[in-house]
Amino acid sequence: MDNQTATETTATQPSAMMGVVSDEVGRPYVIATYSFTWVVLLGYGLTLILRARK
Amino acid sequence: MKWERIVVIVALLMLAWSHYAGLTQDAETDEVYMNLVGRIFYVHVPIAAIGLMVYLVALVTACLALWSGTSKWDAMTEGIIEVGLVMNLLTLVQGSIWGKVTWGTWWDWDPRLTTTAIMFVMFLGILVMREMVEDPDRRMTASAVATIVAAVNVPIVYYSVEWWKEQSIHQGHSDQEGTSAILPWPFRIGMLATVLLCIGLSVMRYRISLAKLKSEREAELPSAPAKLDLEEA
Repeated sequence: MDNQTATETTATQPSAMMGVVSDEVGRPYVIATYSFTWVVLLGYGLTLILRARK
Repeated sequence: MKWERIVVIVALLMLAWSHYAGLTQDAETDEVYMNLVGRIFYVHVPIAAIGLMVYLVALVTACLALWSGTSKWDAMTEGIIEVGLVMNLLTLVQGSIWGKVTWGTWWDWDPRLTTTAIMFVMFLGILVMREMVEDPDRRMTASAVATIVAAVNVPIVYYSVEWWKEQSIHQGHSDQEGTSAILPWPFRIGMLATVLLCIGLSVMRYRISLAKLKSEREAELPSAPAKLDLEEA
């Protein structure tokens, strides 16, 4: 099984896809996903530290 | 520094490496339909998968709280549920962003998405209920029972992509056979980092709950039941 085939079977269901997503279209979504995740994780960790100090 | 904070810092460093490696991978390994957007995989799948496991651990601690009647398990259950909710929220938002660009919609009443949302509401309801019940013993019993009931949804979420395959726009399980070709190390390190992160955050949150329960118990002494176990872990 080559890389492309393996990745396709796992990460997509082509019937539900709108079609091929170009990097230009996808980039803002990738940035938004990773940024949101890090903001939430760091924010939650910081909140716990502050709550523990009360 | 308390050990759990060190665990959280190490986990965040590992997670940062995992994300960096996943994002900077060779473009030739990109998924054929999604290209760059497929790299959301490295942040979404570990959080979604470990988030489910977190709720299963809450099920165990809820059973222990019900069985032993000690406050430390009650505090642990509360802490774990809150961390599970953070993972659950991240899963929903990440999935929504991914869905918008690949499926063309922010949300769909697909079995996996719907059961995940129901799971979030159920566990959030437990924390809300805990704020409303003042008596610590009643609160412990009620939240333990509610946690056991809510945890029934966890396997439903997991198997939803199999049971309702025809109705689902969500892809199937990200199993080892399929993921082995998707840069395995960023993915594996991401999974391990998320496990460590959840452990560290849960213990941090547990200590806050335990301190609160302790002050509640002290306030109601000497009428507090003898079956207390509030020493620091």
